[in-house]
Amino acid sequence: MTFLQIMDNNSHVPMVLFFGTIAMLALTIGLIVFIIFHQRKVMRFQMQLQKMEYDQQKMLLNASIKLQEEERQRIAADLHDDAGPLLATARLYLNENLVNLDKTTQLQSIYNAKQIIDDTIQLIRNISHSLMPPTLKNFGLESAVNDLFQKISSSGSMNASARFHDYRERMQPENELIIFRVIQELVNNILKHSNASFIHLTQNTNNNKFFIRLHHDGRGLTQADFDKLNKSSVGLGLKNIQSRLRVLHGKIFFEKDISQTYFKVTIELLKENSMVAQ
Amino acid sequence: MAVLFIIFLIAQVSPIVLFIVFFKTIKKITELRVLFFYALLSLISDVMLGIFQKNASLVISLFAISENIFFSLLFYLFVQNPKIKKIIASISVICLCLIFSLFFLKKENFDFWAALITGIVIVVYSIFFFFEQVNSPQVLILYQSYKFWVVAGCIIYISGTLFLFLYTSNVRDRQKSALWIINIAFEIIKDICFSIGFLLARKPNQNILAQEYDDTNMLEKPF
Repeated sequence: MTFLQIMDNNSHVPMVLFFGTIAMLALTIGLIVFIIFHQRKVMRFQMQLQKMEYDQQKMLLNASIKLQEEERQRIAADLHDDAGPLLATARLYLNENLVNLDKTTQLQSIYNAKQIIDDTIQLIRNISHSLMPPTLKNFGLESAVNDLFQKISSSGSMNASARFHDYRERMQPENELIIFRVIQELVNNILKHSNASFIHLTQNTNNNKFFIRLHHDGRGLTQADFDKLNKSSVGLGLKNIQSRLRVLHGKIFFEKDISQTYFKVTIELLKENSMVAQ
Repeated sequence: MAVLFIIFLIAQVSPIVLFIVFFKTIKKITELRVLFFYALLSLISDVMLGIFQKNASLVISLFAISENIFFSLLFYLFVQNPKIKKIIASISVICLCLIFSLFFLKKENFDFWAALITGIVIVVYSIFFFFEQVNSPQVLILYQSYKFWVVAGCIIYISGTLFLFLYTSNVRDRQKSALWIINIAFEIIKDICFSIGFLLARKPNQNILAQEYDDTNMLEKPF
């Protein structure tokens, strides 16, 4: 009614006014509605991403805790099944000494007890070395990895070698331990699942990055397999590898070599974050 | 007509009343203090228009200048991005210099130019605000924020009345009363939106994005 009152056939102004106002209003309301719906869509998407990241982190943490518990159980089993009986036997021999007054028998008992105690010491030393290799702490990553590979080669199960091309500066001890554990886990997986006859490790640096590459000729994983296993509830070791590398902001790639004859695992780290401060 | 006038009066007074009623909870929000003073000024200018009918053009001109200042300040405070703040400040200074020069030069059709400049500037600032909300959202649900309602009120009012003020000098007197009704209607909508903004501002926003997932890396600091 109001607009009809202002309509005048002799003037274009009211027409411009009418249509201009309607157009402006339509644009304004359209803009507001668009902004509201777009923002809600973006927020929903962001929350979904955050939830996925949170779930992934939770899964990695659970895997890490589970691995810790398994390690503790293994140590407990080693101590209970091996060290425990040995020390008990040594105690038996020494007890016998208290009863038996014959000197020869006494000496024999003491000698047997000493042998058993020596074996126990060696066993505990092995358990301790598997927990924290002293070579890593005292001589660094290169020596610890060479040591590990030498033990694998000497067992006769496969041919294992390692070569560090550019490791003049040692990393921070915590970072060396993380990388060593990752290498240990990868090597264990290769030993358990791949049926490989050789395994070769190389280390080099390029620009600002630190690379470790593992080659083997057995059954391996591709990147797609790794991503799939990471998202599932199995693949505990791989989840732990990923969670350890996350601490160093590192990456891992699984692929088959160009020649299609062997599998390659590449670990990539930023050099400056991990090196010892001068 | 009388009913419309009463509704207009209630709508104009409601933002002022709401600010006073909820003063304790919203006094720290600078933007709402600016809005309160704008609403007060709007009411005063309407009263003065009724009293000083002979100098109506002077009252309207002064109100147009102050409206520009208030809206520039309001949007400057609303926007968080420092770059956009600088752009708003620069545009505001240029527009104010233009309006002041037109006023002191006693240019004909000053209302036309003031309305045009203010209208364009507010639409641009509103677009900046919405652009910032899309790129760096501060709240989960936009229309639960008081800022949204204040900006929506501004942009609806400006888009509804821009062409009115631009062509008011070209329209006959008997038609002007009809146009003024349209202006009143949009003023009512604007004041209702401002009132909703005041009502929302009194409660702390429950959906602020800062309370999202805890993003500390559980693996770096597990215990």
